[in-house]
Amino acid sequence: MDYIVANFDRILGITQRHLEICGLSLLFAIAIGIPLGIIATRSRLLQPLILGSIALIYTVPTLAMFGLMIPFFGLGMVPAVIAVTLYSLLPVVQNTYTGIINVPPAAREAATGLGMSSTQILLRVELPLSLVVLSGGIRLAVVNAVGIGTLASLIGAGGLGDLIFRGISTVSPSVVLAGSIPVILMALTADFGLKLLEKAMARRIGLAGAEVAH
Amino acid sequence: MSFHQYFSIFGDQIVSLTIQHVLLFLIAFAVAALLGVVMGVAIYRIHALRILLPVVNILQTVPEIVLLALAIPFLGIGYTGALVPLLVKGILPVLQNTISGLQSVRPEMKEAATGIGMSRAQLLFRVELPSALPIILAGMRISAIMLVSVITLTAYIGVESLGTLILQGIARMDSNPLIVGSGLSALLAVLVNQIMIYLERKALRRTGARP
Repeated sequence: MDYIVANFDRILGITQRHLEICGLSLLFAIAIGIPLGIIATRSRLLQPLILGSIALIYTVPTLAMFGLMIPFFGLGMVPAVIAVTLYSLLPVVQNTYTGIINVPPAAREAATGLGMSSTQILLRVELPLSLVVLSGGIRLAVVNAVGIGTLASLIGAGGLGDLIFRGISTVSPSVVLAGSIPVILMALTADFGLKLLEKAMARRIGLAGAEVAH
Repeated sequence: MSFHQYFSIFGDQIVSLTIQHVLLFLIAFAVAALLGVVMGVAIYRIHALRILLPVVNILQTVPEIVLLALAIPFLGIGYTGALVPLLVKGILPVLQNTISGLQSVRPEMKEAATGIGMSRAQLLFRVELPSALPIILAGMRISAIMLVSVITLTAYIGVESLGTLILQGIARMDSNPLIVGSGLSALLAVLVNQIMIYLERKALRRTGARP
């Protein structure tokens, strides 16, 4: 505990770095993942290719992924963000795909009947109705990223992994705790907060969905 | 050092680390799969144990490296220290899917089984577990991929595995062990994933054939 109190400012700085790595990666993952998920629903040809290759990336052991970054991208922030982004893609893409595929056909037909174009159907029917599933995917991605982000330390990008790995190699439990507590808190807060958000959205969309179905 | 030279000098080490990694995986997976199903059935059957579910959910969000680091003061480094993250990350997906698999068994099937005079044990082994099998196997697949990854990571506390090569590569900035260690452990994970997908499909076809 003394360690945490004495080094509070430093720990805060390291936590901020951790948030930067995870935040950037998640932004990229969402920006790339949602369009990829939409493409997968539109093209029978690309669907197995997109979902397959992203699932393949996800199975690569985390340490191996960070290790493989070094020969290609070197050390530091850039390879760390690339690695965390790659891991965060699967839940985003998969849930975008699942969400849109599971939109009731009646809703889509009604929208076509109203004369909506396919872009309008996507933006005003399909995406809103799949928002709950999609945000479930984003929640998984956030929780994952907070944990995987600790390994960024191994390739020199900093973050809370710095404290955890230093704590392990110097056998100092207080340093390990200084790194672990913020990681666990972040993961739990993100999980809990986003679950609440999902519930609130589900309630709203449940109503909207009923309106469309009528 | 060229890749060829590296391979001829360290070939034996690479082979033994790969074998070690696979053995560790098989042991950890067998234990995790068994315990996961047993604990899942226990929580499903004994309602008082449901209070454990929030604990399970919280443990699930704790990253493996944190579990690894937190276990060291109690269990030391090496194999014993690796036990906690291996068991936690291995058991939880199986446990959760066992519970949701058992919950998804259609009530009519259970009623029919009780109606023809099956005991609770028969109901479990001949109706509930077989029809929950595809979902349980899906949990085992997540657990298996997780375990390959966690075993790679335990190299950091001295458990010899393909992760040892990756850490060597990072420490020496040498891409030979990096690529060999990362490549082989990734290959192992993909292989394990494919085997589990095959088993899942087989199980689905069997249960899907039931009316």
